[in-house]
Amino acid sequence: MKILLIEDEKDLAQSIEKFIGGEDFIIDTANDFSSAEEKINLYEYDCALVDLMLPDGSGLDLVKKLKEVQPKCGIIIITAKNTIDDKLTGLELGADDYLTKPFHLAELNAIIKSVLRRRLFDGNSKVVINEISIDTETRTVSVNNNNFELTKREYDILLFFVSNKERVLTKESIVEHIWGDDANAFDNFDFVYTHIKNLRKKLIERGANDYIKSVYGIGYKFTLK
Amino acid sequence: MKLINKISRYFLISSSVIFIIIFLGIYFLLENSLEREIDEKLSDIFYNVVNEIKQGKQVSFYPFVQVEPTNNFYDKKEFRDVQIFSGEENEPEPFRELTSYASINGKNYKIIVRSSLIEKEDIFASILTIELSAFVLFIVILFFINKTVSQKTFSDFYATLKKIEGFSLKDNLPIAFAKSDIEEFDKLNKSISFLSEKAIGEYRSLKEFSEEMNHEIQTPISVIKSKLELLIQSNELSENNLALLDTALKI
Repeated sequence: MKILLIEDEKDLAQSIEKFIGGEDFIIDTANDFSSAEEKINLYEYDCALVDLMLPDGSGLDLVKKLKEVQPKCGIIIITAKNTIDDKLTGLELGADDYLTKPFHLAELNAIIKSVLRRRLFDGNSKVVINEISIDTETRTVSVNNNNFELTKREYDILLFFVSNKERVLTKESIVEHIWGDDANAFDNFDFVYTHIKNLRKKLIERGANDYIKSVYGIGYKFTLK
Repeated sequence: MKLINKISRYFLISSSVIFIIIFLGIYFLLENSLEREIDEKLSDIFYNVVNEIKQGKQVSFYPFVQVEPTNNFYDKKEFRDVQIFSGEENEPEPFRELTSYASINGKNYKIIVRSSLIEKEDIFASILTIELSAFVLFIVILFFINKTVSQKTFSDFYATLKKIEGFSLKDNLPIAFAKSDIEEFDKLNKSISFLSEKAIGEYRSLKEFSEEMNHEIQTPISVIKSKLELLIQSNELSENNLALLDTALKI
Protein backbone atom coordinates (compact mmCIF):
# COMPACT_ATOMS: atom_id res chain seq x y z
CA MET A 1 0.00 0.00 0.00
CA LYS A 2 1.25 3.43 -0.86
CA ILE A 3 1.34 6.24 1.59
CA LEU A 4 2.09 9.87 0.88
CA LEU A 5 3.84 11.64 3.74
CA ILE A 6 3.71 15.42 3.57
CA GLU A 7 5.99 16.80 6.27
CA ASP A 8 8.37 19.74 6.05
CA GLU A 9 10.49 18.64 8.99
CA LYS A 10 12.84 16.24 7.23
CA ASP A 11 14.11 14.57 10.41
CA LEU A 12 10.62 13.76 11.51
CA ALA A 13 9.68 12.54 8.02
CA GLN A 14 12.66 10.23 8.11
CA SER A 15 11.64 8.77 11.48
CA ILE A 16 8.10 8.15 10.29
CA GLU A 17 9.36 6.54 7.11
CA LYS A 18 11.64 4.27 9.05
CA PHE A 19 9.05 3.30 11.62
CA ILE A 20 5.99 2.62 9.49
CA GLY A 21 7.69 1.75 6.23
CA GLY A 22 8.79 -1.69 5.37
CA GLU A 23 6.39 -4.51 6.05
CA ASP A 24 3.20 -3.31 4.33
CA PHE A 25 3.79 0.24 3.28
CA ILE A 26 5.65 2.10 0.62
CA ILE A 27 6.23 5.62 1.79
CA ASP A 28 6.53 8.56 -0.57
CA THR A 29 7.70 11.73 1.13
CA ALA A 30 7.07 15.33 0.11
CA ASN A 31 8.77 18.07 2.08
CA ASP A 32 6.84 21.04 0.79
CA PHE A 33 3.55 22.11 -0.67
CA SER A 34 4.51 22.19 -4.34
CA SER A 35 6.14 18.76 -4.46
CA ALA A 36 3.21 17.34 -2.51
CA GLU A 37 0.78 18.84 -5.01
CA GLU A 38 2.79 17.38 -7.86
CA LYS A 39 2.77 13.92 -6.31
CA ILE A 40 -0.95 14.07 -5.66
CA ASN A 41 -1.52 14.81 -9.32
CA LEU A 42 0.87 12.15 -10.58
CA TYR A 43 0.46 9.12 -8.35
CA GLU A 44 -2.27 7.29 -6.55
CA TYR A 45 -2.11 6.74 -2.80
CA ASP A 46 -4.04 4.71 -0.27
CA CYS A 47 -3.40 7.11 2.53
CA ALA A 48 -1.89 10.56 3.00
CA LEU A 49 -0.35 12.07 6.12
CA VAL A 50 -0.64 15.83 5.86
CA ASP A 51 1.22 18.33 8.03
CA LEU A 52 -0.91 21.46 8.13
CA MET A 53 1.97 23.92 8.48
CA LEU A 54 4.08 23.90 5.36
CA PRO A 55 6.59 26.57 4.37
CA ASP A 56 4.92 27.34 1.05
CA GLY A 57 1.25 26.73 1.74
CA SER A 58 -1.39 25.35 3.99
CA GLY A 59 -1.92 21.62 4.38
CA LEU A 60 -5.65 22.30 4.42
CA ASP A 61 -5.48 23.17 0.71
CA LEU A 62 -3.75 19.86 0.07
CA VAL A 63 -6.54 18.07 1.93
CA LYS A 64 -9.03 19.79 -0.39
CA LYS A 65 -6.98 18.83 -3.40
CA LEU A 66 -6.70 15.21 -2.27
CA LYS A 67 -10.43 14.98 -1.78
CA GLU A 68 -10.87 16.29 -5.29
CA VAL A 69 -8.27 14.22 -7.12
CA GLN A 70 -8.18 11.04 -5.04
CA PRO A 71 -11.44 10.67 -3.16
CA LYS A 72 -10.54 7.11 -2.11
CA CYS A 73 -7.36 8.14 -0.35
CA GLY A 74 -7.46 8.16 3.45
CA ILE A 75 -6.30 11.42 5.00
CA ILE A 76 -4.64 11.91 8.37
CA ILE A 77 -3.82 15.41 9.51
CA ILE A 78 -0.66 16.01 11.50
CA THR A 79 -0.41 19.32 13.26
CA ALA A 80 1.57 21.10 15.91
CA LYS A 81 -1.18 23.64 16.15
CA ASN A 82 -3.20 22.24 18.94
CA THR A 83 -6.17 24.37 18.04
CA ILE A 84 -9.66 23.08 17.71
CA ASP A 85 -10.33 25.44 14.78
CA ASP A 86 -7.84 23.72 12.50
CA LYS A 87 -8.83 20.24 13.55
CA LEU A 88 -12.46 20.96 12.83
CA THR A 89 -11.69 22.56 9.48
CA GLY A 90 -9.56 19.57 8.55
CA LEU A 91 -12.20 17.06 9.56
CA GLU A 92 -14.89 19.10 7.81
CA LEU A 93 -12.84 19.04 4.64
CA GLY A 94 -12.89 15.26 4.82
CA ALA A 95 -9.82 14.20 6.78
CA ASP A 96 -10.29 10.81 8.46
CA ASP A 97 -8.31 11.49 11.60
CA TYR A 98 -5.77 13.83 13.10
CA LEU A 99 -2.68 13.69 15.27
CA THR A 100 -1.15 16.44 17.31
CA LYS A 101 2.61 16.78 17.59
CA PRO A 102 4.41 15.40 19.42
CA PHE A 103 2.93 11.95 18.91
CA HIS A 104 4.09 8.38 19.30
CA LEU A 105 5.10 6.74 16.04
CA ALA A 106 3.22 3.66 17.15
CA GLU A 107 0.12 5.77 17.52
CA LEU A 108 0.50 7.09 14.00
CA ASN A 109 0.98 3.54 12.74
CA ALA A 110 -2.19 2.39 14.51
CA ILE A 111 -4.17 5.33 13.11
CA ILE A 112 -2.97 4.69 9.55
CA LYS A 113 -3.99 1.06 9.81
CA SER A 114 -7.37 1.87 11.25
CA VAL A 115 -8.02 4.47 8.53
CA LEU A 116 -6.97 2.02 5.84
CA ARG A 117 -9.22 -0.68 7.28
CA ARG A 118 -12.15 1.70 7.25
CA ARG A 119 -11.33 2.99 3.78
CA LEU A 120 -10.38 -0.13 1.89
CA PHE A 121 -12.61 -2.72 3.44
CA ASP A 122 -15.52 -0.52 4.47
CA GLY A 123 -14.72 -1.38 8.05
CA ASN A 124 -15.41 -5.02 7.37
CA SER A 125 -11.92 -6.30 7.72
CA LYS A 126 -10.43 -9.13 9.69
CA VAL A 127 -6.96 -8.86 11.03
CA VAL A 128 -5.42 -12.30 11.16
CA ILE A 129 -2.17 -13.21 12.89
CA ASN A 130 -1.62 -16.93 12.72
CA GLU A 131 -4.26 -18.44 15.01
CA ILE A 132 -5.61 -15.11 16.25
CA SER A 133 -8.29 -13.36 14.26
CA ILE A 134 -9.69 -9.93 15.07
CA ASP A 135 -12.90 -8.66 13.53
CA THR A 136 -12.59 -4.89 13.72
CA GLU A 137 -16.21 -4.31 12.79
CA THR A 138 -17.85 -6.40 15.47
CA ARG A 139 -14.84 -5.92 17.75
CA THR A 140 -14.61 -9.62 18.47
CA VAL A 141 -11.57 -11.86 18.79
CA SER A 142 -11.21 -15.53 18.08
CA VAL A 143 -8.42 -18.04 18.51
CA ASN A 144 -8.57 -21.04 16.19
CA ASN A 145 -12.06 -19.90 15.15
CA ASN A 146 -13.36 -19.93 18.69
CA ASN A 147 -14.81 -16.54 19.62
CA PHE A 148 -14.24 -15.26 23.10
CA GLU A 149 -14.81 -12.16 25.16
CA LEU A 150 -12.26 -9.44 25.83
CA THR A 151 -12.89 -6.27 27.75
CA LYS A 152 -12.93 -3.04 25.77
CA ARG A 153 -9.49 -2.09 27.09
CA GLU A 154 -8.01 -5.52 26.36
CA TYR A 155 -9.42 -5.45 22.85
CA ASP A 156 -7.99 -1.96 22.21
CA ILE A 157 -4.61 -3.01 23.57
CA LEU A 158 -4.55 -6.15 21.44
CA LEU A 159 -5.42 -4.22 18.31
CA PHE A 160 -2.74 -1.65 19.12
CA PHE A 161 -0.20 -4.44 19.51
CA VAL A 162 -1.23 -6.10 16.29
CA SER A 163 -1.04 -2.79 14.42
CA ASN A 164 2.51 -2.43 15.68
CA LYS A 165 3.87 -5.92 15.28
CA GLU A 166 7.57 -6.43 15.95
CA ARG A 167 7.88 -2.99 17.53
CA VAL A 168 8.63 -2.06 21.09
CA LEU A 169 5.70 -0.17 22.54
CA THR A 170 6.36 1.93 25.62
CA LYS A 171 3.84 1.87 28.43
CA GLU A 172 3.16 5.57 27.82
CA SER A 173 2.30 5.04 24.20
CA ILE A 174 -0.11 2.27 25.15
CA VAL A 175 -1.78 4.36 27.85
CA GLU A 176 -2.01 7.39 25.56
CA HIS A 177 -3.49 5.31 22.80
CA ILE A 178 -6.14 3.68 24.98
CA TRP A 179 -6.96 6.47 27.40
CA GLY A 180 -6.26 9.45 25.15
CA ASP A 181 -6.05 12.82 26.86
CA ASP A 182 -6.97 11.26 30.19
CA ALA A 183 -3.51 9.71 30.25
CA ASN A 184 -2.17 12.92 31.79
CA ALA A 185 -4.18 12.21 34.90
CA PHE A 186 -2.17 9.11 35.78
CA ASP A 187 0.89 9.27 38.01
CA ASN A 188 2.46 6.18 36.54
CA PHE A 189 1.57 3.69 33.89
CA ASP A 190 2.11 0.50 35.82
CA PHE A 191 -1.59 -0.35 35.80
CA VAL A 192 -1.16 -1.22 32.12
CA TYR A 193 0.63 -4.30 33.36
CA THR A 194 -2.60 -5.72 34.81
CA HIS A 195 -4.51 -5.26 31.58
CA ILE A 196 -1.75 -6.87 29.55
CA LYS A 197 -1.38 -9.73 32.03
CA ASN A 198 -5.10 -10.50 31.71
CA LEU A 199 -4.97 -10.23 27.94
CA ARG A 200 -2.06 -12.65 27.72
CA LYS A 201 -3.74 -15.06 30.09
CA LYS A 202 -6.96 -15.09 28.05
CA LEU A 203 -5.11 -15.63 24.76
CA ILE A 204 -2.96 -18.46 26.13
CA GLU A 205 -5.96 -20.14 27.77
CA ARG A 206 -7.64 -20.30 24.35
CA GLY A 207 -4.59 -21.94 22.87
CA ALA A 208 -2.80 -18.98 21.30
CA ASN A 209 0.92 -18.56 21.43
CA ASP A 210 2.31 -15.99 23.85
CA TYR A 211 3.24 -13.27 21.38
CA ILE A 212 3.38 -10.40 23.85
CA LYS A 213 6.81 -10.09 25.32
CA SER A 214 7.81 -7.55 27.90
CA VAL A 215 10.89 -5.50 27.12
CA TYR A 216 12.75 -4.87 30.37
CA GLY A 217 11.05 -2.03 32.22
CA ILE A 218 10.29 -0.05 29.16
CA GLY A 219 7.29 -1.69 27.53
CA TYR A 220 6.10 -4.59 25.42
CA LYS A 221 6.51 -6.08 22.01
CA PHE A 222 4.13 -8.21 19.97
CA THR A 223 6.42 -10.52 18.14
CA LEU A 224 5.96 -13.57 16.01
CA LYS A 225 9.61 -14.51 16.14
CA MET B 1 -29.01 49.03 46.15
CA LYS B 2 -30.37 50.15 42.82
CA LEU B 3 -29.20 53.49 41.52
CA ILE B 4 -32.74 54.76 41.22
CA ASN B 5 -33.39 53.83 44.86
CA LYS B 6 -30.24 55.57 45.97
CA ILE B 7 -31.27 58.73 44.11
CA SER B 8 -34.77 58.45 45.54
CA ARG B 9 -33.37 58.11 49.02
CA TYR B 10 -31.46 61.39 48.72
CA PHE B 11 -34.52 62.89 47.15
CA LEU B 12 -36.71 61.74 50.01
CA ILE B 13 -34.33 62.94 52.69
CA SER B 14 -33.90 66.38 51.14
CA SER B 15 -37.60 66.73 50.44
CA SER B 16 -38.54 65.80 53.99
CA VAL B 17 -36.12 68.45 55.23
CA ILE B 18 -37.78 70.93 52.87
CA PHE B 19 -41.22 69.88 54.07
CA ILE B 20 -40.20 70.40 57.68
CA ILE B 21 -38.76 73.84 56.88
CA ILE B 22 -41.92 74.80 55.01
CA PHE B 23 -44.04 73.58 57.89
CA LEU B 24 -42.02 75.52 60.45
CA GLY B 25 -42.08 78.62 58.25
CA ILE B 26 -45.83 78.48 57.86
CA TYR B 27 -46.20 77.80 61.56
CA PHE B 28 -44.22 80.80 62.69
CA LEU B 29 -45.70 83.18 60.13
CA LEU B 30 -49.22 82.13 60.95
CA GLU B 31 -48.60 82.13 64.65
CA ASN B 32 -47.29 85.64 64.41
CA SER B 33 -50.17 87.07 62.40
CA LEU B 34 -52.75 85.11 64.35
CA GLU B 35 -51.37 86.44 67.63
CA ARG B 36 -51.46 89.98 66.33
CA GLU B 37 -55.02 89.46 65.17
CA ILE B 38 -56.08 88.07 68.53
CA ASP B 39 -54.30 90.82 70.42
CA GLU B 40 -56.10 93.45 68.33
CA LYS B 41 -59.40 91.73 68.95
CA LEU B 42 -58.68 91.65 72.69
CA SER B 43 -57.86 95.37 72.65
CA ASP B 44 -61.13 96.06 70.86
CA ILE B 45 -63.06 94.06 73.41
CA PHE B 46 -61.23 95.86 76.19
CA TYR B 47 -62.38 99.25 74.88
CA ASN B 48 -65.88 98.00 74.41
CA VAL B 49 -65.89 96.75 78.00
CA VAL B 50 -64.58 100.13 79.23
CA ASN B 51 -67.33 101.86 77.23
CA GLU B 52 -70.00 99.57 78.68
CA ILE B 53 -68.76 100.27 82.20
CA LYS B 54 -68.73 104.00 81.49
CA GLN B 55 -72.37 103.71 80.57
CA GLY B 56 -72.91 102.18 83.95
CA LYS B 57 -73.49 98.62 82.86
CA GLN B 58 -72.32 95.59 84.76
CA VAL B 59 -70.01 93.60 82.49
CA SER B 60 -68.81 90.12 83.38
CA PHE B 61 -68.66 87.01 81.27
CA TYR B 62 -66.25 84.44 82.66
CA PRO B 63 -63.81 83.43 81.34
CA PHE B 64 -63.96 85.89 78.46
CA VAL B 65 -64.43 89.12 80.40
CA GLN B 66 -63.47 89.64 84.02
CA VAL B 67 -63.85 93.00 85.74
CA GLU B 68 -62.52 93.54 89.25
CA PRO B 69 -62.53 96.81 91.14
CA THR B 70 -59.09 97.52 92.52
CA ASN B 71 -57.25 100.20 94.40
CA ASN B 72 -54.20 100.07 92.27
CA PHE B 73 -53.81 101.46 88.90
CA TYR B 74 -51.10 100.61 86.43
CA ASP B 75 -50.90 102.09 83.05
CA LYS B 76 -50.01 98.94 81.22
CA LYS B 77 -51.37 96.37 78.81
CA GLU B 78 -50.19 92.85 79.47
CA PHE B 79 -50.79 90.01 76.94
CA ARG B 80 -50.06 86.42 77.83
CA ASP B 81 -51.06 82.81 77.14
CA VAL B 82 -52.78 80.95 79.96
CA GLN B 83 -54.57 77.71 80.68
CA ILE B 84 -58.07 78.14 82.09
CA PHE B 85 -60.45 75.53 83.38
CA SER B 86 -63.72 76.03 81.70
CA GLY B 87 -66.43 74.43 79.71
CA GLU B 88 -68.36 71.29 80.52
CA GLU B 89 -65.40 68.96 80.71
CA ASN B 90 -63.62 71.28 83.06
CA GLU B 91 -60.34 70.69 81.38
CA PRO B 92 -57.59 73.22 80.94
CA GLU B 93 -57.95 75.06 77.67
CA PRO B 94 -55.49 77.47 76.12
CA PHE B 95 -56.46 81.15 76.24
CA ARG B 96 -54.88 84.42 75.29
CA GLU B 97 -55.55 87.09 77.85
CA LEU B 98 -55.15 90.83 78.07
CA THR B 99 -54.82 92.32 81.53
CA SER B 100 -55.20 96.06 81.77
CA TYR B 101 -56.41 98.71 84.13
CA ALA B 102 -58.95 101.42 83.58
CA SER B 103 -60.02 104.39 85.68
CA ILE B 104 -63.70 104.98 85.11
CA ASN B 105 -65.71 107.62 86.93
CA GLY B 106 -63.10 107.81 89.64
CA LYS B 107 -62.97 104.08 90.25
CA ASN B 108 -60.13 101.78 89.27
CA TYR B 109 -60.84 98.54 87.53
CA LYS B 110 -58.65 95.62 86.63
CA ILE B 111 -60.06 94.27 83.42
CA ILE B 112 -59.07 90.89 81.99
CA VAL B 113 -60.28 89.94 78.51
CA ARG B 114 -59.66 86.49 77.09
CA SER B 115 -59.99 84.75 73.81
CA SER B 116 -59.85 81.01 73.22
CA LEU B 117 -56.86 79.62 71.32
CA ILE B 118 -58.50 76.38 70.37
CA GLU B 119 -59.22 77.84 66.99
CA LYS B 120 -55.54 78.43 66.48
CA GLU B 121 -54.72 74.84 67.37
CA ASP B 122 -57.27 73.65 64.86
CA ILE B 123 -55.67 75.73 62.17
CA PHE B 124 -52.27 74.22 62.89
CA ALA B 125 -53.72 70.75 62.94
CA SER B 126 -55.21 71.38 59.49
CA ILE B 127 -51.94 72.68 58.14
CA LEU B 128 -50.09 69.66 59.47
CA THR B 129 -52.66 67.33 57.93
CA ILE B 130 -52.38 69.04 54.55
CA GLU B 131 -48.60 68.95 54.71
CA LEU B 132 -48.46 65.30 55.67
CA SER B 133 -50.89 64.21 53.01
CA ALA B 134 -48.93 66.23 50.45
CA PHE B 135 -45.81 64.42 51.60
CA VAL B 136 -47.43 60.99 51.35
CA LEU B 137 -48.76 61.87 47.91
CA PHE B 138 -45.27 62.97 46.94
CA ILE B 139 -43.80 59.63 48.03
CA VAL B 140 -46.45 57.68 46.15
CA ILE B 141 -45.83 59.69 42.98
CA LEU B 142 -42.07 59.25 43.41
CA PHE B 143 -42.53 55.51 43.71
CA PHE B 144 -44.43 55.31 40.44
CA ILE B 145 -42.01 57.62 38.66
CA ASN B 146 -39.14 55.41 39.81
CA LYS B 147 -40.84 52.32 38.56
CA THR B 148 -41.43 53.82 35.14
CA VAL B 149 -37.95 55.30 34.97
CA SER B 150 -36.22 52.09 35.89
CA GLN B 151 -38.32 50.21 33.37
CA LYS B 152 -37.99 52.61 30.47
CA THR B 153 -34.80 54.54 30.98
CA PHE B 154 -32.79 51.67 32.32
CA SER B 155 -33.94 49.19 29.71
CA ASP B 156 -30.99 50.24 27.53
CA PHE B 157 -28.68 49.77 30.45
CA TYR B 158 -29.92 46.27 31.16
CA ALA B 159 -29.67 45.41 27.47
CA THR B 160 -26.03 46.50 27.59
CA LEU B 161 -25.40 44.39 30.68
CA LYS B 162 -26.90 41.36 29.03
CA LYS B 163 -24.67 41.76 25.99
CA ILE B 164 -21.57 42.09 28.14
CA GLU B 165 -22.51 38.94 30.01
CA GLY B 166 -22.89 37.07 26.72
CA PHE B 167 -19.55 38.27 25.41
CA SER B 168 -16.81 35.75 24.78
CA LEU B 169 -13.39 36.37 23.28
CA LYS B 170 -13.59 33.07 21.48
CA ASP B 171 -16.60 34.13 19.43
CA ASN B 172 -14.39 36.66 17.70
CA LEU B 173 -17.32 39.09 17.57
CA PRO B 174 -17.11 42.57 19.09
CA ILE B 175 -20.18 43.65 21.04
CA ALA B 176 -22.54 45.68 18.87
CA PHE B 177 -25.22 47.85 20.43
CA ALA B 178 -28.38 49.46 19.13
CA LYS B 179 -28.25 53.21 19.46
CA SER B 180 -29.51 54.46 22.80
CA ASP B 181 -31.29 57.82 22.96
CA ILE B 182 -29.72 58.42 26.36
CA GLU B 183 -26.37 60.10 25.90
CA GLU B 184 -24.65 58.46 28.89
CA PHE B 185 -25.69 54.97 27.88
CA ASP B 186 -24.73 55.64 24.29
CA LYS B 187 -21.28 56.69 25.45
CA LEU B 188 -21.04 53.60 27.66
CA ASN B 189 -22.02 51.37 24.74
CA LYS B 190 -19.44 52.95 22.47
CA SER B 191 -16.69 52.47 25.05
CA ILE B 192 -17.66 48.85 25.59
CA SER B 193 -17.74 48.18 21.85
CA PHE B 194 -14.31 49.72 21.54
CA LEU B 195 -13.05 47.71 24.50
CA SER B 196 -14.39 44.47 23.10
CA GLU B 197 -12.77 45.10 19.72
CA LYS B 198 -9.48 45.81 21.41
CA ALA B 199 -9.75 42.73 23.61
CA ILE B 200 -10.49 40.54 20.60
CA GLY B 201 -7.52 41.97 18.73
CA GLU B 202 -5.18 41.38 21.65
CA TYR B 203 -6.57 37.92 22.20
CA ARG B 204 -6.08 37.05 18.56
CA SER B 205 -2.46 38.17 18.49
CA LEU B 206 -1.78 36.35 21.75
CA LYS B 207 -3.37 33.24 20.31
CA GLU B 208 -1.32 33.49 17.16
CA PHE B 209 1.79 33.96 19.23
CA SER B 210 1.10 30.90 21.35
CA GLU B 211 0.33 28.86 18.25
CA GLU B 212 3.61 29.91 16.70
CA MET B 213 5.36 29.19 19.95
CA ASN B 214 3.69 25.83 20.15
CA HIS B 215 4.87 25.00 16.67
CA GLU B 216 8.40 26.13 17.37
CA ILE B 217 8.62 23.99 20.49
CA GLN B 218 6.66 20.95 19.41
CA THR B 219 8.53 20.39 16.15
CA PRO B 220 11.94 19.70 17.70
CA ILE B 221 10.32 17.69 20.49
CA SER B 222 8.52 15.61 17.88
CA VAL B 223 11.78 14.93 16.10
CA ILE B 224 13.60 13.99 19.30
CA LYS B 225 10.79 11.77 20.43
CA SER B 226 10.54 10.00 17.09
CA LYS B 227 14.26 9.33 17.04
CA LEU B 228 14.18 7.92 20.56
CA GLU B 229 11.27 5.72 19.62
CA LEU B 230 13.20 4.40 16.66
CA LEU B 231 16.17 3.84 18.89
CA ILE B 232 14.27 1.59 21.30
CA GLN B 233 13.36 -0.65 18.39
CA SER B 234 17.01 -1.60 18.14
CA ASN B 235 17.95 -5.01 19.43
CA GLU B 236 21.45 -3.99 20.34
CA LEU B 237 20.63 -1.96 23.41
CA SER B 238 21.61 -2.96 26.90
CA GLU B 239 19.17 -2.83 29.76
CA ASN B 240 20.88 0.34 31.01
CA ASN B 241 20.49 2.00 27.64
CA LEU B 242 16.83 1.08 27.57
CA ALA B 243 16.29 2.45 31.06
CA LEU B 244 17.82 5.76 29.95
CA LEU B 245 15.64 5.87 26.88
CA ASP B 246 12.60 5.04 28.91
CA THR B 247 13.24 8.01 31.19
CA ALA B 248 13.81 10.30 28.23
CA LEU B 249 10.62 9.13 26.52
CA LYS B 250 8.51 9.64 29.62
CA ILE B 251 9.02 13.39 29.52
